[in-house]
Amino acid sequence: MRKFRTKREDQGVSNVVATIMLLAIFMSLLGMIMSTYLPAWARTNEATHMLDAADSFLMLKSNIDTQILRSEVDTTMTTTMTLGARGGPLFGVGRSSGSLMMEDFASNNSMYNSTELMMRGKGAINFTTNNYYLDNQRFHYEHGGVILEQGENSVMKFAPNIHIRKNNNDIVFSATLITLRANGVDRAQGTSTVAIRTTLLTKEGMTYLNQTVGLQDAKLRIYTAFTATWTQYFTETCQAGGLAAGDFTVTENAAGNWVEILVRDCTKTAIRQAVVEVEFEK
Amino acid sequence: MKVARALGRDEEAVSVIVAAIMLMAVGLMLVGNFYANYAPILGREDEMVHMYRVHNQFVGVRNSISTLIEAQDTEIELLVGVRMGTAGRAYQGIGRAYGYLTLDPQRSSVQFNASYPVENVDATKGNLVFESKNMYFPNQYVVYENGGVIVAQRETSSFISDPDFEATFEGGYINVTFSSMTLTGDLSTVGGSGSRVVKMRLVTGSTEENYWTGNGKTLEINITTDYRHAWIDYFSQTLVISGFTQLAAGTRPVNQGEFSITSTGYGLWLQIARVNNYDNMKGVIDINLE
Repeated sequence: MRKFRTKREDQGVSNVVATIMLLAIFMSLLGMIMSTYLPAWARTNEATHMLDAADSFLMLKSNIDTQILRSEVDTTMTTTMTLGARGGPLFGVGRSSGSLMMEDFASNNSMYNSTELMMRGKGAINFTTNNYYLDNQRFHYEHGGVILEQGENSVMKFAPNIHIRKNNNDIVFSATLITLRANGVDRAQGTSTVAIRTTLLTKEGMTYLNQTVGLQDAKLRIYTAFTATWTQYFTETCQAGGLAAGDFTVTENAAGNWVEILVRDCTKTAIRQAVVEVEFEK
Repeated sequence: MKVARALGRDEEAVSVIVAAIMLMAVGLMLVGNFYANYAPILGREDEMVHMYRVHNQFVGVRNSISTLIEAQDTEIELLVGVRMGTAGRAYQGIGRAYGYLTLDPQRSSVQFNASYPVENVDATKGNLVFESKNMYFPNQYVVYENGGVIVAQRETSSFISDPDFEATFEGGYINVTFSSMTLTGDLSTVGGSGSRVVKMRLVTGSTEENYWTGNGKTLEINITTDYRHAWIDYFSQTLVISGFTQLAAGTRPVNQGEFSITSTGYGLWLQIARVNNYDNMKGVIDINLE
């Protein structure tokens, strides 16, 4: 075996060392960007998208309420919603995506007086995020309100048009029951912007001035996956409206799929029922 | 000098170090240039887009209030979101803009008088103001008062959505219509950079019709406002376009088709001569900020 000997050389290696050092500096900078800077960037993008999604749902709710208020049947309003966050291929920052879905048969509700069914509504619109960095959120439009769910918790983000007030012992209960009906495309996934077209099909309203003793109770039953949120909402609405504890009862069923509010001795019960057609346009 | 001489001349190895230092200098210069020039432009762009968004949202408030009054429905509440600030770009050294949204039910009043004899017709008051706290773009006030949306920046202000005001000649008669709003609710301010919700509910709404035969009456509209430039320009342009003749400030109009606008310490005073018909749509809107 011939012994391999390295030749002693005093020149030339400094270039190689300097290049390697420069590469090392560059790689450590890149590593720092990938581990610290990019997650902060992506988190900001996702947080902004969550705010935009909340604004879109508020706009959707507001548009539907405005259509019902104007009573302009067959007129259409459009709400835009971007399903994903900003992002880009730079350094591998992915775009979070989302799923928008219309649920025709979800979230039924029914309004009763003491003896009979008065009106009913149903349908929900659901948006679920698919975030990389932030916790996923779910926006749920049902019964005219918008519920925000994150993890185990949910809140009534934008309240429905259900008003219960007590003035001088007169209790007024007003509610707008909305039926959402899908037309054409009823789901969308991805990162693009979707137009949600809502068209008012019918609207009717009834006002009951309850004079007959024993026929003055009003009861609204809501089928929902968010029973705790609705229970809290009804309780707070009644308390804020000046009702005493004996004026109302909020009940959840044992199976946890509906909530019922009973308001006793209503002087006036005003109910609106509207059917709104919903279509997604990609 | 002694040290330099001791080090001596050496032509080997230093060029790479110099090159590395130069490269780092170029890199730092690029980063410095980015933060000094590019980041402020990005920040200004974000804030400008945000201000446009707030403008649109205030126009949404105006439209919602008009819808509530037209529908005369006191049981439906309309909601409009107002984005208070920008998200910022912390990773690029761009901070978040924020803002304040204030409901002041006592601010900015409108009072009508039909003179000779003096007759108080009506008064309304209240405004909703968004005050931006930008870092790059000039700060603005976006204001809803008396059916219109005003943007005020530095010393000037103008309407981006006009109030419902109209003055016409018809068959020798002068007809004036104006929708005026009273905003009720608690004096309240909300702030931050996220979204806030303006809840609006109609309390009462009605249209008051006034008819004066013969030479009619001089209609006086007193507006107490912090944004008198916007109102003066608006009334002046609207009335001149409609064929009215503007007199000098402080001059009382006497002949048919004349009007004058006088700036006061608290706002302005509009006088229109010989008005025969004055319709005032009045609304009282309860506002709640969340």
